[in-house]
Amino acid sequence: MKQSQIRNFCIIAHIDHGKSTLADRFIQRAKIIAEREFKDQILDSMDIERERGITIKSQAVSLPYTGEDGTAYELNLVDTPGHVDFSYEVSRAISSCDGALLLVDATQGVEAQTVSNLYLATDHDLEIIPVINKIDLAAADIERAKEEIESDLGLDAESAVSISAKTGEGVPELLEVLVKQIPAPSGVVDAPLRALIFDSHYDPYRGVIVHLRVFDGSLRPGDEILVWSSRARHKVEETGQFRIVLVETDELHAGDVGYMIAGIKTISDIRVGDTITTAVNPCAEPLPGFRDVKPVVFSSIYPVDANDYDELAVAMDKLKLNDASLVYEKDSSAALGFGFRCGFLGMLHLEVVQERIEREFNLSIVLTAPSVKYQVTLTDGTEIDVDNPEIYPDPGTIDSAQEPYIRADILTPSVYLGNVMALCLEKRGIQQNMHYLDERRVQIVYEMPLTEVLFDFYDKLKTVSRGYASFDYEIIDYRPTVLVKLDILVNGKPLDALSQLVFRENAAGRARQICRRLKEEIPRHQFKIPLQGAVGSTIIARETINALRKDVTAKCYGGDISRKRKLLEKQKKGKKRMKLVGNVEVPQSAFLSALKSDDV
Amino acid sequence: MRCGVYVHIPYCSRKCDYCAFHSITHWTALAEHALIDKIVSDAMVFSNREAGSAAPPVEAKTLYIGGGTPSTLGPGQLARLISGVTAALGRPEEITCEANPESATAKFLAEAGEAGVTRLSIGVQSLFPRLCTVIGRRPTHVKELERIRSEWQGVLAADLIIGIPGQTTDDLMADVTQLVEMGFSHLSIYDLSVESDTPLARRVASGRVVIPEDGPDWPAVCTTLARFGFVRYEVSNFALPGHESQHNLGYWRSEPYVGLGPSAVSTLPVGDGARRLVQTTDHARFLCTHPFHDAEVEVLDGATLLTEFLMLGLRIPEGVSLRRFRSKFGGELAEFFGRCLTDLEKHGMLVLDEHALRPTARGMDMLNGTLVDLLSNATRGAPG
Ligand SMILES: Nc1nc2c(ncn2[C@@H]2O[C@H](COP(=O)(O)OP(=O)(O)OP(=O)(O)O)[C@@H](O)[C@H]2O)c(=O)[nH]1
Ligand code: SF4
Ligand SMILES: [Mg+2]
Repeated sequence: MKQSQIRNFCIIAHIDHGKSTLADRFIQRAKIIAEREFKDQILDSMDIERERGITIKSQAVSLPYTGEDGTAYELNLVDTPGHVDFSYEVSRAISSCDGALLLVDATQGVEAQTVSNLYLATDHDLEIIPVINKIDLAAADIERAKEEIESDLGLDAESAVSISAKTGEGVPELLEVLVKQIPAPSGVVDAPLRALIFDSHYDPYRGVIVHLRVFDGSLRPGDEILVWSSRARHKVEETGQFRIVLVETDELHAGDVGYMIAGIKTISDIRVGDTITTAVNPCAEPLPGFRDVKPVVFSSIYPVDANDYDELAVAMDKLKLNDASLVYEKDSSAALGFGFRCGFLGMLHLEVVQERIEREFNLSIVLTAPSVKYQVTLTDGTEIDVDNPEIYPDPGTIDSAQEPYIRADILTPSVYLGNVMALCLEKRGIQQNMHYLDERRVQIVYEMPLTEVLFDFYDKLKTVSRGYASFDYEIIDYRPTVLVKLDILVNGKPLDALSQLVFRENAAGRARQICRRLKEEIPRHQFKIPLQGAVGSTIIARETINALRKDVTAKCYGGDISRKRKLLEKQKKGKKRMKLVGNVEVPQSAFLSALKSDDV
Repeated sequence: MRCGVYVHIPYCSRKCDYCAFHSITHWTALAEHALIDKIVSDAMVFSNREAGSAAPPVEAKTLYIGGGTPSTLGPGQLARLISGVTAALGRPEEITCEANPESATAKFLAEAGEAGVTRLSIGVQSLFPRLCTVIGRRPTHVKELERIRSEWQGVLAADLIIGIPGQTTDDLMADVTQLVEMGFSHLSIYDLSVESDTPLARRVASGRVVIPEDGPDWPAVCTTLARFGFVRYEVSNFALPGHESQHNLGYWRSEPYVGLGPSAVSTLPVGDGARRLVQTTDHARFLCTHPFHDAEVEVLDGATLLTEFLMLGLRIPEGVSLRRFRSKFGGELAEFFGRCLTDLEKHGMLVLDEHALRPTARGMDMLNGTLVDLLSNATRGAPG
């Protein structure tokens, strides 16, 4: 297909504004899969995405479209996630596109990620088409959405297209608008190949499958390619397009989005953001690539069974192929053995990584208490970064400590303003700014410690505002703080994975919460188990798990035997998911649960 | 082949809120009559008198009539049942019948005695009406039990429940003492277990009933019973010497058994393994189908039988016999479990001598953890 007939665009919005549902309508109209194989939010193909009902990964798909004037087009669309933790996914998508549909839910209006995703897209000079969605709902207020698009986003509301991604109303009109407004790609077909790796995944039979946006030149099976940074060379075996499933094509050329298989088994050869060119006629300059990932939370991953370390190492490499925002390095701990120190973009990202390792690689893992990166100044003047309680220096040698602060931008209906301000205050927030966007909505800006927003701020904000407030944040600087290292002791033995650095005033509360959680999660043993939270040698929280008097099921006659045996076999399996701390068996689920915030 | 024979009577006058057994509360005399006929005819199938049956002929070692509530049977039905089944499978020395106090009338007891029942097992659960209410069961009155005692000549057994919300150690001790003084020579004390899909489970799920973390003091109850001369001959069963249930001991010794009636389970040896048959709970279907052809079948291989052999055998103080282990599984028990056995002995859960692996009293209380330890440390797999 000629470049003039190709349109590369992404769908961006605040969480839940209907991006994946709109992608569904495009896919159904293009008839690339049979109606009986169709399911809602079909691009959300990972189990975790379906269970949580949110998009976690950007997903590309190529769709044929015939315009009203009879022109045949190829639409390469990328559905993106809306959650703050996954804005890196949005920025990757944006780098491979020329335009963006910016969705605004007509019942919610402009929210925090509507604004931040718009900025990401305009930074890359994408053509933006504002789209007002969910107009089928009774609560839809199209006029208000238009006002907000003008005033909050500075876009021309007259150009906005109103649709219902659910019923399909307005979708044909939107398709016409987008082929007219989004520019065709403008690469040079006969220049040396320049293709951007925007994603990849691992296939056990075919090796690494590289997802590409071709900017210049072309690529066909048989070509020898060169990966810019790693200088690795591979022979292309297959090229193709994403049509829910992979569909082989003869070639990919300037303007195309597709995949390449080149028998790549060495995972480290491929890095998302890198450029692919041909070995015989390489390009002079690589493509700009992606901004570096800046993880904000750090935690270590260890296998529950230390023998699984090698398998975990392979799993991490393969996962990294498919999750470019994951950063990690080897780590080891006296109590937990060998593992990986990882950086995540937020707590949801951390949970997703944990679940993917367990499900996709069938490994049982333990994560240590997440931490932000602190700056510690020692009495001798040296400054060190500490993101891991294991390397926290002896308190006697510490002169001062600093923690990262963020600037939080919160949009809330004014009726919830009081609740939101109280929440920010509780989270050590300092109000910077407040202004009424209109008579019903307020924008407030707070500066607060990053640790305070990581854990449960988002959920609490939703609760105190009945789901209406939204927020976005960026890290601004480091400010003085007073830290202590909190240790959790189980039957007198420290549970290393739960040790953490906390703001002194929060230590007792946190310690009590963890002890309570552990009490719920650790099964009773034959002996009494004290659970303690300690700072140094001072105990600041305690709970006790009473000894079990009897653990046997009381009845076992002819009709009960099979059921009892199956239960026993299940418990035997479960035992493999227990971490032995001293002589206490701690179920793996206890680790994550202990770190979750209280239900709000 | 000598087997324990169990008969399931699937009727109750009303359903208790904690109960997950199969039983119905409305039925006709005609259906009851047909059910007894079918059970007797199934007994004939197992006795191999019916042409074409492939199973080895079964001979009843013990007979246990349970349920449901066998005492809800209409006049004459229990007698018909016992004479039919014993005509087919032989007359064992021990015949147990379960009963609930209110339906164990003088007439019923007389019929049971004449039919050859040697043990009567009464569902008491608790003598405290308030505790019966918590678990949704008709309260048991001491007067009824006294009447039964005076009208029944054979062995008397009772079931009690421990761990009912609100039950104190004193409550349970009072029940135990009263039953022993009344002349009950066999007591089963079961933990209240919340079975899914029961009204009790729903009350627990909604928070209206809270299951206590620790119920009455179990070791104290065991000590009291020992003082009365009762031997704890299984995890939850106590009896005066000679009054143990031979039928139930058969299960714990992994002996074969036949189950007759809706939902009843049989386990019969086949080659190196065994087959477990579960009869349907659908009464209409039960009446029209062959007990072998329509049952749900589970094939038990060597490894499964080994798990069950330990799981059941360690419920009784006599433990598992090393000689039987050797002949069943073709190896020494110690070789299968290696060091873990030594650890469990050191922790006072098990005792290994030249004849048997036995649980200690503590080992019986902690059998679940002990078995999980043992099975997850097996150094070699079982055959099969
Ligand atoms: N009534 C109505 N509901 C819609 C419409 N579009 C989306 N929804 C619903 O809104 C919810 C969120 O839709 P998604 O398509 O998953 O939203 P998303 O923007 O992809 O969400 P994230 O990927 O998590 O950011 C779902 O329950 C959809 O069914 C619409 O036009 N009308
Ligand atoms: S009487 Fe026994 S079998 Fe019948 S419902 Fe009550 S507990 Fe269940
Ligand atoms: Mg989505």
